[in-house]
Amino acid sequence: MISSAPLATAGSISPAPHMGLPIPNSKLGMWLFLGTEIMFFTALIGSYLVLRLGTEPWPADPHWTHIKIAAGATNTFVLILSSYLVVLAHKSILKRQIARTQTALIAAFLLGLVFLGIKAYEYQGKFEHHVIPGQIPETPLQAQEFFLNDVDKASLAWIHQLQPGEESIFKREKDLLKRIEQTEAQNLDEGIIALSDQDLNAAHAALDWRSQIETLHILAASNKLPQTIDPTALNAAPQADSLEQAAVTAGLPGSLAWMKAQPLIGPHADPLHLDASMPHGNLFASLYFLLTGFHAIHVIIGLILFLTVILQGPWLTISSATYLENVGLYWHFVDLVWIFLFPLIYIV
Amino acid sequence: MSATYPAAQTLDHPHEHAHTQANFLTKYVFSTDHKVIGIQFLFTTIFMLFVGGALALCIRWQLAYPWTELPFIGGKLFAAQAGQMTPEFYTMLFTMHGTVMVFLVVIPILAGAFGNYLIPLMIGADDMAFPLLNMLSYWFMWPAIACFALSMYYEGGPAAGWTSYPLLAALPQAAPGSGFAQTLWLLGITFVGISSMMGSINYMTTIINMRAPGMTLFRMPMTIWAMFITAILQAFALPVLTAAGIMLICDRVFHTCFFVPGGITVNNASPTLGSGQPLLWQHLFWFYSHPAVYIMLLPAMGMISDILSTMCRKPLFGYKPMVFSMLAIAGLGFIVWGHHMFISGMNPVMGMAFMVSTVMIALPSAIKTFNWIATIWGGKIVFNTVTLNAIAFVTMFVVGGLSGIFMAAVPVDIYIHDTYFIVAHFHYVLFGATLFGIFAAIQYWFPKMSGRMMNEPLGQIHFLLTFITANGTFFPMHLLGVAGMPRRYADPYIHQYLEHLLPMNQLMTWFAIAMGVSQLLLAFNLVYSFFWGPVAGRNPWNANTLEWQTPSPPPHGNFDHPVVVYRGPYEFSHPDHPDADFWPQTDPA
Amino acid sequence: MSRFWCLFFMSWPLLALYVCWVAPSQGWGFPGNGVSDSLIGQRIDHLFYVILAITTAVFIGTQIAMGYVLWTASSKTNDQPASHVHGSHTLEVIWTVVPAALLLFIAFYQMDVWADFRMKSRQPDTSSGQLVAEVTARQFEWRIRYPQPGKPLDRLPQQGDVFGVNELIVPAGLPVTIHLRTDDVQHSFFLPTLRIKQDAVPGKVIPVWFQVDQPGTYPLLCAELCGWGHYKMGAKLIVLAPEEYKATMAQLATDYALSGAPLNPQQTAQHQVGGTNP
Ligand code: HEA
Ligand code: HEA
Ligand code: CUA
Ligand SMILES: [Cu+2]
Repeated sequence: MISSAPLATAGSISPAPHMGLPIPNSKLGMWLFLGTEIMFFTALIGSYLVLRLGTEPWPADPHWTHIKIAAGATNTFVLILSSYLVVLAHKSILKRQIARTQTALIAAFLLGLVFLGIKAYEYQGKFEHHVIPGQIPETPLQAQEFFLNDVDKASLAWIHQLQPGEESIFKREKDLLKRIEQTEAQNLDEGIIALSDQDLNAAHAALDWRSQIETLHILAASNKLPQTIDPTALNAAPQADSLEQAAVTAGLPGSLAWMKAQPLIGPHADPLHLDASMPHGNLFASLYFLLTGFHAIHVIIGLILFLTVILQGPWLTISSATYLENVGLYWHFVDLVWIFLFPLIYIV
Repeated sequence: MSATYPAAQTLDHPHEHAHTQANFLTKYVFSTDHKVIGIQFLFTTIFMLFVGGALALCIRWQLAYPWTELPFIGGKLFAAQAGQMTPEFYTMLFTMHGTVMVFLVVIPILAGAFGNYLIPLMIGADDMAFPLLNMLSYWFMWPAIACFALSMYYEGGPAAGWTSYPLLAALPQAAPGSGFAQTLWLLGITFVGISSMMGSINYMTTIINMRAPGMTLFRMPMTIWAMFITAILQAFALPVLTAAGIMLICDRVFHTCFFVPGGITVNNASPTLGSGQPLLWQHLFWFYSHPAVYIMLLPAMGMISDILSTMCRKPLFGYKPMVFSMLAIAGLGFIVWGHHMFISGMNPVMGMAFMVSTVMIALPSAIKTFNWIATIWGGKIVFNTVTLNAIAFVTMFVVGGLSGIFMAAVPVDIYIHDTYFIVAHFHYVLFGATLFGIFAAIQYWFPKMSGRMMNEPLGQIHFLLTFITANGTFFPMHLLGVAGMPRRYADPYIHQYLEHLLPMNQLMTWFAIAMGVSQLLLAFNLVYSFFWGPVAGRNPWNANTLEWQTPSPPPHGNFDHPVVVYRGPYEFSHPDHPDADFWPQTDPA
Repeated sequence: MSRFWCLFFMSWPLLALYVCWVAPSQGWGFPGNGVSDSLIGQRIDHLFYVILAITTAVFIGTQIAMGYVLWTASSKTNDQPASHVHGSHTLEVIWTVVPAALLLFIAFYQMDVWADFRMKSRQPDTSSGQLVAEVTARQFEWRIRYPQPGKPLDRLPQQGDVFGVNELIVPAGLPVTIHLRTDDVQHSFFLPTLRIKQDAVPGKVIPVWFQVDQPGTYPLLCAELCGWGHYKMGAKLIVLAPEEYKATMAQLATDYALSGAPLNPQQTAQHQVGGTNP
């Protein structure tokens, strides 16, 4: 502190005109705010470390995690570059070179967008492969359940398409079954639904297959797989490339390939869980999205702050220098967080 | 006050008060004036005190007359069950009682109301560093209040206690109220967090950068030191709770698994997926909430230091030790959180480490206690309402603090953890210390806020009744705790070894009801004195600090003359200054 | 009036002390006859009383000091000014060092009991059949799994295991260990008369040991909020003399086998969470 006059002294000391730090309030406030932000990310990163160190084995196989070191490294470089550009912008505004300031800022802004773009690409890869919290089977049994659930959904969706209506899917499905039976038994069509022979056969096959799957599903849930299926093969799922293969080896009637080949069911069979189980995969996905997600939110806020300056265009004046400096501080912080996150998530 | 002063100015806050067309809305509702905001906080939190108190009275009713009709409201709320409350309603009651008292009463009344009102006045600034942020920090309370209120409306209400431990709080199927209500509750906590964060950054900046000329750090009144340290605690501990809260919300809404281990079947729902750690929540929660208990105490400690010194006409004993002990409490406060988790199954060695740090945190508290007593020693005390409440603060804090020592001892905590001993401890520190401190502060600064004195006889009766009833309510809780009565029990008496405690609980309930009624005296006194109290003048207590050197209530911009500080805040009965027993900080002579 | 307030502040500590003094005789003290039913509980009680003695002394000391300063400070006449003292270095040192010593003494005096209760290295050995049961908390009851008599307790349910609900049977006179776990949310295993408590944490198995010499029935409660039925999650700890224990366990095992009970009762039990009154 600037003044340190003794505590209890009478008489007149001429006090310093300004107490406190020789920096503007806004900058001090920004530093303090960043302090709270540091604690926020400390909590997140600390949780990451605690959870990760307490979890054996940690999913680290890039083939499964879809972590792309190259993308992360590029992003690190992108952010550092944009941080530099913000410094440049601040220097320029102090020299009243508004055009230069704006160019540097726009470049930094675009780099921020590049960062988000790469991030989006990474996220998409994860979404495509179902690396999503709460959707990752962790044991072979779960993988099997997930698979069956999905198959169930696919065939239901298909049935739904066969006979659209406002009733619930389940009811409709039963109806359909009944009607198909009726059609077959009476060998007539009363105009309830006009199914071609081909359709009818396909429907039969699908329903048949579905009910088999369903039985299997129920049995699997109660831990009693039928003898006809070799349970060891199913349990070997993690070793096999995918559960689907394991299912084929296990002699499941109809496989994903079979399903996909069916012109009617095929289109619905797309969002199927095919990957083998991954122990602790959900925790991995949770933490990955938590850390990178909150960082991305901060990037977005930073970009909005950039916009508040960029949109002033040529009318920007030196009076915004402190503001720009604060925005820059914030941006450096966002950069710094990433520099911690990158090695922690991508490399270690 | 006639010398010419160098203009009090601050670097980037020039005196431009553009509030020329102040209409009602900008003057009293969306005001950026720290005094208005402080008073808004004060009214809101006092109202919330009654809400929280009403919830407490419902708790007490159930504990005294379990499963009988709840008076007044039972018939309407539980028409189907002859007016008797349900166990999950009881769970909701203490959850919301704790939440309201902690997050909507004590924290905002100390930092929000008194911090806001006093900081600029006591350091000689014309307003906070960021007035707009200040206003937002008040208005962010309301989404929080809305979330909490709404959460009570959803089935069961939030039902995991104010500590909200997962899995109870993480899995919607775990309790009737663990559905949407719990998510709303967590959102409410997040809003409170945002509000406090804005406030604390503002306070720190203001105190660091906007002190009047001559107001060096060691001339700041204890209140300001306390507010400063509290703001530091808030700024650096609260983000952790916010992060934890967000993670818990994610667990609930987005099926992440930070706190949820795999294979847990609750209430016949399908097993959970994941490999999170429920204990992590406890670590994060208490990393915030232990500092939070000091956030709930330090400002009161600071205000009591000022009040005692003024009321005893004597300098504060040991100013610097007082400051450093407060810093020590804040520092140590960050490394003792584990004492809430001794029997949670955490590593026993950590239990030992946390025990040592916890007992050591009693040391700075001891220093403060002894210094307060020494401040009174040799003074010339005026027994008015303010003094009485301040003395009650000290004695009750000693009781609450000493019961903390029992719990800090791990083996003893094995037994008393989660019994009423804990409830006794924290009501002694929270009600006994903090709330009496708040009562003292309200009556001490009321003249400044309103320009009128509070009614003295009414105040003393309120004090007497509150003191007796508070002890009557909370002291027996120690005994209940030792007798093994667990907390958060809707009906302890179904367990045979607790049956005989019913009469004691009934007595406590009647004390609690009397305590509630006594609070109406305070409410009445506030309203009455606001309109009809005797006019106070600038400095009714003959105090030294800056806020008393300006009109009551202070004008917009706070001071009618530039402020320069010449000495510390506690120069009472100074031998070099025989004309008066006080010597204002601004007096150049 | 100031005399009244001085006396007021001096009298309430006396009342508090009086209440504490008569409390045990009124049944407001430790549950039961006031003596813990387990050895470790008695050691905990001892520590409690040590702290009680120290804190009572501190309490009396501070209250006397408070009464004294209030009395003298309110007896000053109008022409006597308050003394102008800013502090005293010596006093600060004294009241820092003395409490510090006391507090550190309190802390280190506790370590032994804590270590005996929780440290792995100090816990009784569980190999010799004294690992008696697995206690699984769930909303809102205690599930007990004993190994088949003569067999060690396995981590996973085994054929021949015996299951019980809300009654934990252990032998007297031996240190026994249970494995504590939970099926759903957190609970806490609380034996008030033994002064023993341990949280059950989802995903963890925590060993808890205790020794009761006197056969009998002791209350077992849940001490961690676990939902609306938290308060009624009571059960019994039944301590039997060793021979009787053996016989009872054998009897239980045969009964259980005869009744053809399922491997794991958890799958058959009906559970409902939701608002009903007791
Ligand atoms: C204002 C709030 C406040 C304050 C100031 C304190 C102060 C202290 N608290 Fe408290 N505490 C709470 C609020 C507070 N607490 C709350 C709300 C909970 C419960 C949360 C929940 O579970 O819901 C809690 C719970 C709690 C626990 C957890 C118990 C459990 O759940 O099992 C523990 C354990 O160590 C503890 C200890 C202490 C200690 C050692 C102090 C010390 O700081 C006290 C120090 C003061 C003194 C000791 C008195 C003065 C000193 C002297 C006169 C000197 C001489 C003394 C000696 C030599 C002994 N507290
Ligand atoms: C500052 C904090 C604070 C304060 C002041 C209080 C005040 C009171 N508390 Fe509080 N209490 C907590 C913080 C606080 N409490 C916390 C954190 C918990 C833990 C929660 C948990 O376990 O999760 C708790 C838990 C708790 C329990 C334990 C519940 C349980 O574990 O089962 C009990 C039981 O007696 C209780 C009682 C009381 C009483 C009687 C008061 C009295 O002082 C209240 C006196 C009454 C008033 C001050 C208001 C008067 C109101 C009226 C006259 C009605 C008029 C109404 C309107 C106008 C709307 N509290
Ligand atoms: Cu189980 Cu509380
Ligand atoms: Cu604490």
